[in-house]
Amino acid sequence: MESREKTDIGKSNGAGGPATRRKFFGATLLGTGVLGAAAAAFGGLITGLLQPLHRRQPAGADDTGTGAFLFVTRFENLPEDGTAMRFPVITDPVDAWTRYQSRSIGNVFLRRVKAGTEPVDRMDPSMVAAWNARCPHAGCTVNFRRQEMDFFCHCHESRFLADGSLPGERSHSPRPLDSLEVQIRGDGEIWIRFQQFQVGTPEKKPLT
Amino acid sequence: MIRLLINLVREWTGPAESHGSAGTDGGPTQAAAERNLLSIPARVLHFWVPDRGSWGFAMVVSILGCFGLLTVSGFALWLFYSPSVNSAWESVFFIENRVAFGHWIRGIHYLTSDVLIVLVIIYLIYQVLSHSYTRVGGLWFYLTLGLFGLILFSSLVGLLLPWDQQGYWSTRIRLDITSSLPVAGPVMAKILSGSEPLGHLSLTRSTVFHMGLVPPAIIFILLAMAGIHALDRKNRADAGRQPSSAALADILLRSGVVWMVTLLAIFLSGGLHMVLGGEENWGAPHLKGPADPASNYPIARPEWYFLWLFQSLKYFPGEMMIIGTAVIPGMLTLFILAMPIAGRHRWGHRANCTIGLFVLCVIAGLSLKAFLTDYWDEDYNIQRETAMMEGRRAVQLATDGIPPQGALAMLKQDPMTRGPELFAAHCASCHRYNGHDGQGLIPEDPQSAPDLFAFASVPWIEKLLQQSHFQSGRMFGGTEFREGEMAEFIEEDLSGLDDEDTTALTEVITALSAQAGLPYQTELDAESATEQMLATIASGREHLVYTFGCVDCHEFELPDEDATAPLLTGYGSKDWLTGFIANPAHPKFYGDSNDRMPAFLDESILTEEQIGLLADWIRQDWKFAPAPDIAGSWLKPDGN
Ligand code: FES
Repeated sequence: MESREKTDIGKSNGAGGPATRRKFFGATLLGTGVLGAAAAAFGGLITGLLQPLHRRQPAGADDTGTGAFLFVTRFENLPEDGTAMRFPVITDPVDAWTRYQSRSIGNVFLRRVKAGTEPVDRMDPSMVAAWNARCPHAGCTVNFRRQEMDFFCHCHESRFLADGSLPGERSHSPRPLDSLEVQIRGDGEIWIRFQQFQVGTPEKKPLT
Repeated sequence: MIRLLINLVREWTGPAESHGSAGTDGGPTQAAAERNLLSIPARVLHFWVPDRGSWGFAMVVSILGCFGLLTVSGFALWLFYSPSVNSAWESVFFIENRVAFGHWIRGIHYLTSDVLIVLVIIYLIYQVLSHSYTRVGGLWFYLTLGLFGLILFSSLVGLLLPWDQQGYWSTRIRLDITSSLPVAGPVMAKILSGSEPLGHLSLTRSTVFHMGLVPPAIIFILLAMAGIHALDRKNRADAGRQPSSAALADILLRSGVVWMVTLLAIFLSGGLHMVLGGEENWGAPHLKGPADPASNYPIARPEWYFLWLFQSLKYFPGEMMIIGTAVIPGMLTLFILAMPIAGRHRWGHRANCTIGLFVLCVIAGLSLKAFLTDYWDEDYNIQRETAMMEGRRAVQLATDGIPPQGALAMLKQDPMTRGPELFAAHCASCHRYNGHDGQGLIPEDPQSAPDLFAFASVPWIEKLLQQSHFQSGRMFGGTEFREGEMAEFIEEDLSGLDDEDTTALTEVITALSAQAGLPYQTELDAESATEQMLATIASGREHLVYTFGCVDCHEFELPDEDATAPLLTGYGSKDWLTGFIANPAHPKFYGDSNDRMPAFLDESILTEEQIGLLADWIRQDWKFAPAPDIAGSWLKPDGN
């Protein structure tokens, strides 16, 4: 648009005096101004829209609670027979401008492994298996079925064995349940490094 | 009637079309004046309407009408809507329950968007069948497709806005699937979600998409369509094809018919939700509970137009999932985009129609399958009913005013909502609640501890003190107490009583139950009880101590170091119950003779708050509580 103005003015320049020159400057100024304002406005909009792509969120990664070790429950609360139990993961997460007090940011399944072995070493992290309760297929919440001793997802009927793995038959889920890191602190406190993972992919990709 | 309408329209538009011939029924001056007056709207109309009647044009008119309805109702809703995690659900509740006609406005907005989607789909099919999808080199068809895409997008984004469980979870899953798509998937999901995990910023963003960006984009497309249409009309007019007033009448009639059908569909789709979805009122589906990211919402389903994709995921297990999420939708899109091009050839058009019909049938079949699977699935229906009840309960509590922390926090402190969850998770492997696990399901483990429905009420204690019931599976039959001292006492001292003692026992039961201060037994309440009742209670206390000698084992009123059985002071009250759940093996309660019950507080299985909620729930001590239905339970006289 600007350039057209220029050529138009250029043509009449021969016959023109100071009036045409003023017109030329005016047009250029206005054109640049309009373009600049439009660029700034759209730039602002686009930056705003793309803001979630930025690595650094206004609330740092710690504030969402994911990726850090969090206390979940005590060892004694896990059934001795190896039944998996669902526990909420509680922390003080920040959502944009709100800091919540003790709010659940997801669910985990915990299960005593080597059930029935004696003596029970409640300080040994390998005694406890932990999984994110979200189905790796499309993200529904999985249930533990006591009778079958397996995990079952109602959404598309995915099944996982008690150790979180896929059963022999073909499963809907592209990968086993997402296991989580376990630490045992103090006198049998179970701490979990809570993470969410990309669903629907064969590889287990943590979401940051 | 229709004749009349056509004639009316013809009369009205007549002068513009019949140049000069109008002079017959009036003076020449009058005719000219009439022409001047009437010709403007008539010309405008003639400029826009096609030269023959067409259902396609009528559908466009209805699409415009729906868009108008959505815009107007949308603005009305926008006046009250507040996008943030602790105000979105709350403001929609306010719209539904406090704003004049709010329920109707939201209903119209919701249902119209569904009907609009159907309408655009029908219009697309119509274009293919009438072979008009090649119009302007397919541009018209593509613009319609663009419109369709925008409407779908806006509808999907709009579902999150109420921030209830349904909207939250369907969005959650949709975003997860989006981010699993190859190449641009993760980036798109991030831009759409606004923040991860979903929160305030997802709502502000969805608001902008739904109310700020999509409507102008739709208007832009509609303007482009209008422009093309006008050009098209002009070309035809230049070629000497003038529309006739009969055609105009025809057009108006068809548009009217389609619009009426559209309105009827909006009305009926509300009815459909009532018949198939179990809704109580006409309008948008009832709000579910406020979104709780930490909850388990197993009944999350996509909207009806994506149900077929949801179903198709079931056929592509494991690594083949991408076929269902990306390949099939991608191929379908490509096919639709190629249709106008292929349609230029005769065989191409036939192929379009055949393949299109086939695809439609498959989609319809899959959708039906998905719907029926859920419809017949008992578990699904129970869980759905639970979700709907939670929604109704949240609304019921909200009518009393929502605390500043928001509706989710409010619901989290409601014994009626939390009790069943906690009971099912922590108690129901041994106890029952009127035969079920508190949530209406029968647990897998057999019952091995008392049924706690209406615990400590008069009928409950009556059952407790009858040997047949005490030793039955409903009470202590599954515990060590089956053969304990209490069982012995009931057998020896409480059976075969004479009339006098029977009356005394009834009074003891009344006195004991009065200790609990149950909110639904107001007749026993010290403040509201009648003189006569107070006398009964007083005499019951006497009998408890002196006639039956309960204090030989139980502590009652006076401190008793040697008591071996649970405390009877304040029996069944909130203090008693929370203390008991906290640690039943406390010397006040069972002491060493505790059977299997864990110390829920001392072993930090439950928090104090959770125990309080559980106790309140067992005592049915909650807001807006109906009295428990004793007559419909096993506690009714002679029930078992
Ligand atoms: S989400 Fe679990 S099976 Fe699909």
